[in-house]
Amino acid sequence: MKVAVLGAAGIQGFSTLIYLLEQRDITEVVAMDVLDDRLRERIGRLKDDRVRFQVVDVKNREDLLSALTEAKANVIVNDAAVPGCYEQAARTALEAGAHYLDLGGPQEIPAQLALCDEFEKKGLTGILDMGSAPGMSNIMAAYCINMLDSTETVDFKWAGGVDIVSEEEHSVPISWGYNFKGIMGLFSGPTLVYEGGKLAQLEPRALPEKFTFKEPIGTIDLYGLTHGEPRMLSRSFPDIKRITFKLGYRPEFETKVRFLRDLGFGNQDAIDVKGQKVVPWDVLETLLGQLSPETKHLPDFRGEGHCFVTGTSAGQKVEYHIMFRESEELLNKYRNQGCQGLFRAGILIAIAAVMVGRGQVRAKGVFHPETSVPPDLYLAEVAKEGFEVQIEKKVSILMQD
Amino acid sequence: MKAIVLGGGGILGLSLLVYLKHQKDITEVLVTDIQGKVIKERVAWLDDERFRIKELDASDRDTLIKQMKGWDMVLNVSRTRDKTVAMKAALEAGAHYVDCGVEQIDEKLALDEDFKKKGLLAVFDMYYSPGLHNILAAYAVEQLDRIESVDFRWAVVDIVPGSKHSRKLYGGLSLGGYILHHYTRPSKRWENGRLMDLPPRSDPETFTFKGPIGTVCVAGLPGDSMCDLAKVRPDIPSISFKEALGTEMDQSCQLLVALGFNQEEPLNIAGQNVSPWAILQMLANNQPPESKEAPDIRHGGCAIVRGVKGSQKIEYRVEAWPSESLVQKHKDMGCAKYGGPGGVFRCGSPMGSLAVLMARGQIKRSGAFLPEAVVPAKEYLDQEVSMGIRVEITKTEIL
Repeated sequence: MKVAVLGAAGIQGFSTLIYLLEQRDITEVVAMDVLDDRLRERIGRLKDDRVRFQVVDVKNREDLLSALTEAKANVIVNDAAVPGCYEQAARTALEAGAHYLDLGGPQEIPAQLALCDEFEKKGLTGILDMGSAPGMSNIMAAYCINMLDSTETVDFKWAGGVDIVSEEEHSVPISWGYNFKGIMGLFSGPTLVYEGGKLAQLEPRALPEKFTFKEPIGTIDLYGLTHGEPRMLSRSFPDIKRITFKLGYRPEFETKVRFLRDLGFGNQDAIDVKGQKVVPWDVLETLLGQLSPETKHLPDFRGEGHCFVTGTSAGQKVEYHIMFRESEELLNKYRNQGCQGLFRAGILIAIAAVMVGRGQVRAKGVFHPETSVPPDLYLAEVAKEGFEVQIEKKVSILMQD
Repeated sequence: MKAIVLGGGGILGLSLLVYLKHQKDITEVLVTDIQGKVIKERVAWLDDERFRIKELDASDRDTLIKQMKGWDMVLNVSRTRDKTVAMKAALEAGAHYVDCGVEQIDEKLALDEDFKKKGLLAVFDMYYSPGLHNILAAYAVEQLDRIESVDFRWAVVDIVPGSKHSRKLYGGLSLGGYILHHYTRPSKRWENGRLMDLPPRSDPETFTFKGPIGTVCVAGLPGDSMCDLAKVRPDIPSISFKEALGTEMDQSCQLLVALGFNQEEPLNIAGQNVSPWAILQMLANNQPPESKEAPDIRHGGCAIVRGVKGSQKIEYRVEAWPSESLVQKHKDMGCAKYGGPGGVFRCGSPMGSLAVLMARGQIKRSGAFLPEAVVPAKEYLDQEVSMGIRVEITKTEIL
């Protein structure tokens, strides 16, 4: 099986490469990115003859098509977080005759889904938003939904990269586990909730609640945000009555990002500053990029996801609860090879990519994860790679006279 | 006595004028500012027949001299950096002089003989801190034979939690005062004859203030004037100044400075030369109007003086803070409307108390002085108490 990885020099791209090269049926991996030096450095660490690199800019359609055609990959994994290029990447995969998976560009999903018939005609599979959340989260829900006769509610409680190292132990003023621009977007956008057949938009970071994760994360505050699951799952399973997604970070991080957002630094529109048109986000992004490296204690980002699904099965009220997180062994394995930040999305998309390449995903066309990836097989692979996956089933019995 | 106020349009001017409205010893007040429209509206609001207005530039020497003639004292709360211009103009015009300026102390002290010759009094650094805090220390210093240390602990804190506001960065100072000064420049400490530079906001500690401020974190501040007491009493081995600015203000400003928003020099940002500080200032000053709860910024603090009387080790804690009735009076007056989004509308009042003492002839000396060198501490504190400030003096004998 040959796999091409776009954005291979990034946080998720690197963990994707590591997972792929663990698989014996992978014969070749083409690592593609626009960041030449970083790509070389990453490939140099892997020390595997099956991987080669190619400098490619996903924004350049001709270059991308040429590179993917030449690669003759069976599967293309798009880990490149480049807004505006997801639809193009999917089309290019289609032209190159390869299956396609990505980590999600929400604005472009409708255009990508519109390629479903073309993918199906060519016997290809496209899976969109196949990361941690969305991605693994959707599959967790699908597993539970499949176990029920009818589903009432789906509620996600997520820890989105919580740094378990205290603030005092850092020299840098703020650390983030993944794409800060994406995080700022999550803080700035409306809270999405699906309830009573409607997708509602509430204020940013609405619906606070406390939730206790396993140690070392512990109890943190969760809030709603702009996340794809309510929209995706409500389309895939329209009979569900309520779908929520809440996510929490370290309290100090939550405070800082909210502060910067409330001052206006999440604003991507230009403002007039003494005759100059300046985008506030650009200023923040520049300053973040100029921060001195950490000189005290590196951050240790941990993630954990919970999916609670209620419904009925054989006339009984049932609640399924799935928890997943990285085990210490998994974290150490990837970190020892150079992974930093919150890198699990790269592993999770790679697991799905290998399943597609092996023919374990039968659906042809373009799909969300919950309607294409067989949940029980996927969860088994996730557990096999070293994630902790726990599934509980609670049955409510009503005692009556 | 007749007083001319320079800079009556600013926040210090606001609080000074509110003070002068409620006392009887100053019989006429000429309120001046470079912004004539502002003081016109302000004096109309104050509605006191003793107050008149005149548009005046506090840096224009010749016009100042002409205007000051015939007035007994000049109270300078203007934003003009070089206050020696107004000070010399007052000298020329034959008026006593008080200012809140913390710079050019040595140049002002150098005018001591000139003011003495004319039988005039000049006092500078006469603000809340420095100013009032120096007099609190002076009260205790006078009680002791030998001083071992003076520790000032001050607070300018919004006692409404940040979660109850929709706007960010409420404080008693301008944003530039926090970002470019307090959180960027070195803290100062006087130790064994030397003024030392320490990191910004150094040596944080928890401290409990009287009144509604309560227990907060205090840390060092920049500014040589923080330790001006050493100019008057260089024999004091140790003088420190730490101020509480509020937990959220501390966290917010430390984050902004650590990110680099205190950089005034432009950086290349997306192909343009942009000053990070200018962007921060623009965004902070143009936040949407407050939609939740308004700030309630409180100001107060103490001087902790340790020394020896006879053979007894003693510690004095002399603390001052506005009474709730005084705060409410100012709220009822509507001072916050003129005090800006935050605003400390008591900050100009220490100068008012000094002006009253001068008007009553309770300061007989002439020359140019820092407050602690000339202001009679007990009489001053009595005047502050009469105007609604609470003063508590604790004497501890260390056995």
